[in-house]
Amino acid sequence: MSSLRPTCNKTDAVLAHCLDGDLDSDDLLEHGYGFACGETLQAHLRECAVCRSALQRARRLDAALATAAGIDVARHPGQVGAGWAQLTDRWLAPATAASAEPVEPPLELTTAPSTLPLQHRGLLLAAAALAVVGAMFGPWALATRAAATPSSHSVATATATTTPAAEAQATSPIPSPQPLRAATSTMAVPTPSANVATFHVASRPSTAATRTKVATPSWRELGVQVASSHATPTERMAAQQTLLAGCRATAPDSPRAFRALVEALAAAGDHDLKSRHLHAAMLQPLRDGELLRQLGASLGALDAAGQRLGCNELAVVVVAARLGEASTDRALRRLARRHPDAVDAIAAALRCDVRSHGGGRLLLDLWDDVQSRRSAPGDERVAMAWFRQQPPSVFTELAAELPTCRSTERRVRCLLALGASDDAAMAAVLRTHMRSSHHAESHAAALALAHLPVRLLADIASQEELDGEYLLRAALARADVAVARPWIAALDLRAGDRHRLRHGTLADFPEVALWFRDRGLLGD
Amino acid sequence: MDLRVTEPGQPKSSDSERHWLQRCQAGDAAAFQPLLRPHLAALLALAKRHCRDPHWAEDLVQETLVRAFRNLPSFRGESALRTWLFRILVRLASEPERWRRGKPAESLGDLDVPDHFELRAEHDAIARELQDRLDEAMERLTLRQRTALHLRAVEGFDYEAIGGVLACTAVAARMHVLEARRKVMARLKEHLEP
Ligand SMILES: [Zn+2]
Repeated sequence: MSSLRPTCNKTDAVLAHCLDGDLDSDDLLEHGYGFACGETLQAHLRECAVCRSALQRARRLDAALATAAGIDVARHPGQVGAGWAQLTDRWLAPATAASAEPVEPPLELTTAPSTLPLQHRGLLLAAAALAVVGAMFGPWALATRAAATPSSHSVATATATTTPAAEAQATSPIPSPQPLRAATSTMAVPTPSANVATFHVASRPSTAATRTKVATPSWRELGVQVASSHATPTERMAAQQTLLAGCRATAPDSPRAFRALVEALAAAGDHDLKSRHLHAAMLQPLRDGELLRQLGASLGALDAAGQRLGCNELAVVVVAARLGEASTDRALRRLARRHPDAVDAIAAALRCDVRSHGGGRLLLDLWDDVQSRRSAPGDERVAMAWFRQQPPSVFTELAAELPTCRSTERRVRCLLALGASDDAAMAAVLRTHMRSSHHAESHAAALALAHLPVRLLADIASQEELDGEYLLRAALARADVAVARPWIAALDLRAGDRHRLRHGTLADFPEVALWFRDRGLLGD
Repeated sequence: MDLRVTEPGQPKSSDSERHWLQRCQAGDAAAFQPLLRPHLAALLALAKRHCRDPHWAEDLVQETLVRAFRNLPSFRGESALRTWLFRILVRLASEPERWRRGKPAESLGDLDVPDHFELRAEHDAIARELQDRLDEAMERLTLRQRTALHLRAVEGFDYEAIGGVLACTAVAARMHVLEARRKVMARLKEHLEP
């Protein structure tokens, strides 16, 4: 034990001298601990085992500290290769943001030709605003998938209103992209060969003359094309190729092209298998180093304190959530700390089934993050809502995590989240965990079970022996399944308790469940 | 007998640092990134000494950069840039309410959620044990002691430079280093034995 370790009153001076190069330690000398010169120090070290050992240990300590700093930084999320650059971009960008140009308003709202009569302009603005809201929120809002149709319709309306001619005359502060030589007459979809043209032309300064003469699709129009469910896959991919070319760091208008690309991808849907595959394919180029870095930087900029998440910002969040890269997931978790409402947007984005894996884990991580920053337990129903209407892969992932997860809290959240599934296999997982000897888990599983679709519960009720299992009876009663109604009636609950039974929180549930153990058999 | 592990010293400014600094102070915001980038890893290492939550460590670095950018015009080069940056960071670390938003995450020790950095080789187990204890011991130090020992052991700062960061004299800086080392060594006990 160190308390028994012999001491020497010169140890401090030895360490100061040897480790810190403290050669003229005047005040140590004043206290009688110092050394007149290196020789007396050496002599002391030869004699004093205490100081020798202390010096050895102190050197080891310093080395361990240096190693820790190195390891720590190396182990820091994102601190590998490109990840580090992205991380540091994220730090540096907000610091200089204050002096940078002010962020432009959304593209859509500034393309209105100022020459139009005022009421027309108002209409156009309204249509454009609708398009933004529709395109941004339609496919991934909490509404059902069917809601995406009206939104794509409003995009089409807005496109029709904003004719290329009108846009060419616009004195809008946002210039259209460099003219495409290959697409001079109409705003026809640029072909891959047109992309080559873009590249050549992009490096040359455009003149005002070519700008007014040539009707060129704007970045926004290309974006609309990318997201459009009316365009063919070839047309959509071609439009995306042009946007991608415009996104290259060397392209003169790359920030705007990038923004249009992100907004387009945020608006793209997954109405059928084909559009889902297409959407997934169109996300692929964003995994490329440069674009991934740009996306990370955009996310990082949102981190800056005080910034509100508008449509443009949410588009970045949506695309990042669907991308499923480790670096973007980390950035999203970080963002959600500053902007808790971003979690709703992330959950909504994941409902579009284009992310191959990790969506369930991300939502669970976000839930952990939110919860760990609260002093009191939050309302689990808020988080459970994030999992509603998520693709099956999300639930498969949660079920796979259950056996390996070491944290009870996280397992409980995992189980609660499974309640949002509509898959009989997940119902079976919940049934298994309801028999867990761990109360927190069995209660969470039962509560989650009560949230499954009634059709799955009716199956369970018809297959299983209900008498012995009060948790199952409580769950079925909470779900108000027909078989449970006589039990509820037999309990003769007051209004307040009936409400607790149907809508109580996880904290209420253990007590509610006991009603079905102690009193539940009265109805039989 | 070799008495020195490292030569302590003052951090020095390179030519390119002076170049970017001048441009930055002349109002070129684009020069801020190349100017600051070489110091970010060191800032993160120090921030992680003060915040267990890696997100908060990042927040602390970011807030440091925001303050640095804002105050760069008044930076007169009397100390090295790195010393100045550390000074900002340490001051912010002492006033978390000025930059922290939200509540702290539970420390990793209280929460048995597997974290992201599990890619550790088995042979690191012993080193890991030492590092864990080291983290714990460092956490128990005062902010000044913790900073002083980190700057000495990791950055190789001399007492004067440490004093520059902590806004104290070199003598006081030495006392912080010595006291910190003594306390940590006492806590680590046999873990530092060969
Ligand atoms: Zn001695």
